[in-house]
Amino acid sequence: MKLRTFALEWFQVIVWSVWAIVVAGGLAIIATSGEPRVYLAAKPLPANHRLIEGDLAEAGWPYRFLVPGWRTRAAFVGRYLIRRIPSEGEVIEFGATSGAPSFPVNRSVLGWFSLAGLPVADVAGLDPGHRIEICNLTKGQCGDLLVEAVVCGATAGDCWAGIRLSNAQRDRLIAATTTKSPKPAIVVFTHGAGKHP
Amino acid sequence: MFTSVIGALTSALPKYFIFGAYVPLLIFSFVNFGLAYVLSAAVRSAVQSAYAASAPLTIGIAFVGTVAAAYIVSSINDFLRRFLEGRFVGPEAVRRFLSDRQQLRRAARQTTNRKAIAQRLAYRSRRPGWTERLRVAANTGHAASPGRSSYDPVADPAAVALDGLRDALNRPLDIDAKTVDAVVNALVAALSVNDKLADAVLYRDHEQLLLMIDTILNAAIISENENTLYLNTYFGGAMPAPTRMGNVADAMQGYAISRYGMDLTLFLSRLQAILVKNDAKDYPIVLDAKTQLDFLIACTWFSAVTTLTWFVALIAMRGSPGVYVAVALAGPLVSWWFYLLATENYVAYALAVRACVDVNRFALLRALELPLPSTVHAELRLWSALSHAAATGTAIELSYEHTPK
Repeated sequence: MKLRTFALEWFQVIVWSVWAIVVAGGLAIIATSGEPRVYLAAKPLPANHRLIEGDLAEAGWPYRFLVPGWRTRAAFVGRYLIRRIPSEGEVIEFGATSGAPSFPVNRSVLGWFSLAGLPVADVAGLDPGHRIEICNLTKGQCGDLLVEAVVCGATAGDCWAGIRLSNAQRDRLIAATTTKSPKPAIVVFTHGAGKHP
Repeated sequence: MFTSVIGALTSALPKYFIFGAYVPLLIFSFVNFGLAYVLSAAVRSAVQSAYAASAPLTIGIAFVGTVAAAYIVSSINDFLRRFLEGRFVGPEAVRRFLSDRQQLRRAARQTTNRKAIAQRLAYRSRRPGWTERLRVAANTGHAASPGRSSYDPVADPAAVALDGLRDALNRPLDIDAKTVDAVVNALVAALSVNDKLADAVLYRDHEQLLLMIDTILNAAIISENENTLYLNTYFGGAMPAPTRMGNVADAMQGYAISRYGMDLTLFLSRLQAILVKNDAKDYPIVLDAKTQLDFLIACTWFSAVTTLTWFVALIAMRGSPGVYVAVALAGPLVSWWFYLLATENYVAYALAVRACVDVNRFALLRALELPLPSTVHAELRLWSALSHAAATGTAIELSYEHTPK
């Protein structure tokens, strides 16, 4: 009887509270399994490019309000573009990115150096735009070079750094190996240029 | 564009159909289509391909589709209204619970009303005594201390009591007669030993107390009138209906039964026929009120259906959280708002129907070739008998009064 009296007097509060719980439940479903949010490219990007913060520009209102999904920018950073983004402002959809690109970027531009054997955390922290140290063990020379792209294979740790090399540099390199290092992402090669799988 | 379409439709179709069913359907179709177009790539591509294939055909199909849907809405509008009146609340326990909620609303009004009535009776009975005692005290004071007064406008018990009464005057129904009794006693004491004609403040306090008593009495009368009108307009039968709208409908029904013994569910359609036949000037007012009511009832249902549909759809399609939250918050509020508006409009419709019954009930009796009753009680007996006969099919003995054609 007391419960009935309470329900009669607080009926509207109870109804709105139940509705709020239902709404929150629905929001949780959307939030946890929602389609990814889309982002705009801040600049033209090549296929297989690993995305960094600077590559992404958030869409403005009301597009941002209307597009489905709950994932934030962090969900995109570190993933690889399956398709080329030809111009700034184009939509990058989550479905157009991948964690394991199946083909490399233009070989004629980059020299590829395997990152296998490096600590996983070092590889994960390596992004396009970083600089890494490359040493020729035969000659004992080291150089600080710009990373143009990072691509990974399907297996864990099968990652490659794309580094722009001059033809002279390329000719001198015969092969590359990697070694663990106290400093992140130091690639050491002995001789020759690497081949991307 | 929209105005010309409505103009063309109004000339071809009845006004109550256009505004009672077609316009609300058009509004909510537009809202739903807009949402579907923005949120669903499939809808966008289907519409674009249909439009590209044949734009006139697409527009034609949309137009015919909305008119057909509006016709369906128009034909079930009475059902939708009765649903909101709570006529189809299924389980008895739910019906009783909702009715009890309405009874709580009514009881709150009844309590205020009883308070106002008690206040009115108390003040009306005591006011002459208060006035007389103050007048006698003033005369006594004038005779005992002519031209003298030691009344302290700040510290005198009468002044203090009057200040308290002034402060309480913003809630006049909370001032009981005993409080005023005490103030009157204090002022009688002051007036009987001072000459009020020699003291402007005492004179003012005497006049103000009389004015305040009148103010409290008037507030009680106004409150009683307001509450009585509210209870008669918003509540009908002894057992409240489960919803607000149902109670307004019951109040409309109860009016004709309590005043004339006429059952409106049986005689409203007959009355309408008489109004149309006689080309009565007040019929368009009823029709307009009904059209507005139908419009708001349709809007209530459309907003509720839109809310529920998108609420489920957005979860199912893992849609935009922003749109989902907007729909989940705004949708119920808009539906509730339309429902309250519809209920208020029902009151306007009920008032128009009441006026129609008041003015045209004898025309209906004449049309039924029945003699006009000569007294109020005779009319009550006549309509009660007619209502009973119409409801049950029982034969009653009544003399016709045929008018020569």
